[in-house]
Order: sequence, then C-alpha cells, then structure tokens
Amino acid sequence: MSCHWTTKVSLLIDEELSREEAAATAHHLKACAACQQVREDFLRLRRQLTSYTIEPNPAAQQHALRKILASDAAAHAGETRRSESTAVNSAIGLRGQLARMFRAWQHAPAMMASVALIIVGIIALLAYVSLRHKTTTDKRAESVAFVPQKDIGRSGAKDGGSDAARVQPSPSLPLPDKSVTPSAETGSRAVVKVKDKTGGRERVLSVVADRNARPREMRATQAGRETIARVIEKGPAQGNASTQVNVARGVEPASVARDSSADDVSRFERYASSAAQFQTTRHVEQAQLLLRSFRNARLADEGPASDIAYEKERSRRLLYRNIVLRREAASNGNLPVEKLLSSLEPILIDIANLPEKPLDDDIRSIKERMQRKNIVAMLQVNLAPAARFN
Amino acid sequence: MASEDEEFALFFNEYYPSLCRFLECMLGGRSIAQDIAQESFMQLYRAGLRSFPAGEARFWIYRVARNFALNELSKGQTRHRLFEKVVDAFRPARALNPEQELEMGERREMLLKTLKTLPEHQRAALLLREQEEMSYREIAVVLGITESKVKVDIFRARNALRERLAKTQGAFVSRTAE
Repeated sequence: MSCHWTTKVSLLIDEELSREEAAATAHHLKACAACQQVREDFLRLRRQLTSYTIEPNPAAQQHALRKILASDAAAHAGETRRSESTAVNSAIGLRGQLARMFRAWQHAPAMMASVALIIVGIIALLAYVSLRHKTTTDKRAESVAFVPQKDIGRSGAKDGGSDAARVQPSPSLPLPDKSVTPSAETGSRAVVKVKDKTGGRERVLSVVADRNARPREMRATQAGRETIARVIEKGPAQGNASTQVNVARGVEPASVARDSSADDVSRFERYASSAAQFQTTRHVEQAQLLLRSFRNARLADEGPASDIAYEKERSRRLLYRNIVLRREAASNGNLPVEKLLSSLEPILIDIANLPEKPLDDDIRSIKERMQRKNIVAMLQVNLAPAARFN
Repeated sequence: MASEDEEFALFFNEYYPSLCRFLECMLGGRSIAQDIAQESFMQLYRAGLRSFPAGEARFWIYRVARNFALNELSKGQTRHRLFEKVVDAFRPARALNPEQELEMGERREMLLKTLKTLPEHQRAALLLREQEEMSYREIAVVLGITESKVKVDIFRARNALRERLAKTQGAFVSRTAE
C-alpha cells in the first residue's frame, strides 16, 4: 500500500511542516487508513530507537574525563601536538587556521609585534565606543519626563525628581506594598527598600539603581527556607528605561525626549538587543545542560545516590541571570523568551533550595515537575531559533 | 562563573552517554564507540569549549564523532568487531529477570542488525533525529548536507526499517510465542 502523503506523514511526526501543511496532512490522515498505518509504524520505530538505552560505567566515564583533562597539562608542558586527523581538520575550519597561526607566531617575532599592535588597536576602539555610548545614554536619561505616581508608598517628598520617594515596579514585578523606605541618595544612585508580598511571601528588596549598577543581594525569607537571589538593576543603556530608570527615579516616563543623537541611540539599542539575545541563548544552553544533569541524577533507591551539590550551586548562579534576562525580555516585549524563562525560574529555585542532603522525594518531585512541564525539550526547541539571532 | 574545566566536565557528563549510544548504533560495537567518543571529546577539549557559539559545540562534536566513525567503517577495521560485542551493548537500565533480558537482548540485536542494512548517511540522519532529537536543520549542520537531503534520508530510512523490522519481528513474535 502506498500513498503520496507518506512523506508528509514522516515530516508531520517530526513537526517539520508548516501550520497549513500540518493541518492538511492531519486532515488526510483521518480518511486514509494506509497513512494511519504508516504513522503508527513510524512511531513504533521511534519508540524502539529511543528505548535503546545504554549506561556506560560511571567510573569508566569519569576516568575518561580525567584523562582528557590531564592531557591539557601534558600539552602545556611542551609536548608537540600530533597532527590532527582529517576528520577533525574538516570540522575545525577557522579554529584550526587560528591554531596554526599561533604556532607560527612562536617563530616569528615580527608577527608577534604586529598582532600586539592589532590587539592594542582593538582595545582602544572598544574603549572609545563604550565612552561614546555612555555619553549618549547620559543625554537620553536626562531627557526623561517625570509623571508623579499615585498610591505608591511615599516618604513625604513631593517633587517629581525625588528618586527615593516612589517606586515604579517593572512589568514583571508585583506591585509593592506601601512600605517604601527611602534610603540614601547620591547623585544618580538611589537606594530603595521595597517590601514585596507575592503569593503570601514577604520579601525585602534592596534596590540600587545606577547607570553603572552593581548587583545587590535580595534575601527572601520563606517559611523553613531561604532563597538567595540577586537583582541587578541596569541603567537606561540596556533599554530598560521604563523599568530600571523608573525604579531609580520612582516615576513613570510620560515620554522620552529624543536628543540629537537619536541614530546613535537606535544603533546602541540594536547592539544591546543582539547582546541580550546572545546572553539569553548562552543562558538557555547552560540551563539545558544543568537540567539534563539533574534529570540524570541517581536516587538512593536506584543505587549510589548522586551528589547534586554542583547542580545546586550552578542553579543559584543561573537563577540570578534568569531573573535579569526575564525582566529584560519583558521590557523588550519578547513574550516567548519571557514565557520560557518564567517556566524555567521555578525549577531553578527548587533545585537551588534543596537541602545539603536532599531526600529522594524532594529530587523526585522536581524531576516529575520537569517532566510535566517538558522543560528540557522547551529549552532545546527554543535554543535553535535563538541561536539564529547570533 | 564556572571555570572552563568545570564547564567542560558538565558538557562531557551530559553528552558522553548519548554520543556513545549514537556511535554504538552506527558501528555496532561498544568498545570502538567509547574509543571514538573519548577521542572526539579530546579534540573538543583541545579546541576549547568556549570557543564555540552557544549551542554549536554539541553539533561540532557529533560531526567529529561521525567523521571518525566513517573513517573506521571505511578502513574496515570494525568489520571484525561488528556485532561481536553486541551482547555487551545490551545492558538494561533496570534489573530484569533472565527471560526479559533475553527477549530485550534479542530485540536489540534485531534492531542493530536492521540498522546496519541502511546506508550510513540514512542511519546517521535517523539516529540523530530519533535518539538525539535534533531538528532537520541541526542534522544538516552535523552531517554537512542540505535539509532537503535530511528529509529524504530520514523518510527512506524509516520506510526501509519499517518493512524489514516487520518481517524480522514477525518471525521473532512467532518464535517467542511457541
């Protein structure tokens, strides 16, 4: 039995059809018994291939890893590299050419000097670019119009320029309660303490808003547990004028006056946008690796339990970056990325909050949650299109 | 920020088992698969994990591993090892009773033998799709071919396996039912 739709059936189960083609194929499947059988056979084959699992000896695996890591020390001790296989040469490409250039560099002092000059030139160019952008963003921030906010905790300051008087939450943050405590304000910095109550939990956020903001710790006390997360507030240079600048100044900008260097601003915004996308891609890649490692962690009833201290530490580091990137995505209107990072964040919090010697049930519940949300697959799917932006 | 070695270790522990599985299905032997997997990771370590854009290192290592596998196949060195250690490959994830182990082992042996009948490029494309869950675009990057070729290879591989497995598994079912 054959049907010219069978190729479409193969693409359908791989989700490689457009929406219209997928709908047409699904419609055809309802009426074609032959294609239904083909689909069942393809899916059965998939189950057979995916059920082919192997478990390499963990000790042997770690031995292989140590051998690889130790090989670097031998290479640095002056051992000459053996010639690459053609398989690797065909794959390394530019990387191989650079490696060969650096080997030649050792025997060519003139080349060393020219490379050093090039590096100095690049550093000078980067410094110039960063200075220029700083000037542009300074002008932009000063042109923000202030609109006083109502019903937000006040400290008594009445003028719209009081940075510590009001707090405008970012779209992704819940509205704070009215216990806003202004703190010291120096120049372009404002330290604001906000009590945030979400989901019955009370958190004290100590926010320092600065164009050259530094991360500050946000301690969250919850019943029986402590969560440490970091909130970094960026200046308007990162395109978060509607959030972080307002957090600093406690106002909602009615309009953003454009100065004469609007082109520079737009160019910088594009640069910042692509930089954020690259950071998001890298973050998603690392989160995926972490979750896969956690998913493979062995429980006590499956044999020697895996030590997840590294996953916990890694999760803490990724958590603060996730918060930053999620807010960035929210302020940029990037809903798919915001949604993805919002799905990821609770998982990272749970892993980071695990006790030093977690119970099997704790780990199992997180794994089940990961499976229900299909978070690893979501990260993988989103990693491919995100990588195109780089 | 984790050191480069820590990042590499995390990457290694994540992808070493799946790379071994891919190579085992490609070559039919566990020891050669582990040798090639280790060599591939060695090359990645020397190249530097951080030198790759986000997500690219995984594709790179599968490409390198597949090229090594091609070299082995073309040299014919695996001919003597193919399926000699098939039994070693069948280590089930959980303890089974002897009958279940035997049945699972025979099914896997059938699968490996049937995979071997496929042309190498079809086998690689199908395994990367089903076991590694790569998209057609990613498979095209790893194998160095076009997406259209990937679509055709995967479809032909599925069709071929579908027919051959139906015959062999039909015989298997009859035999086990006796």
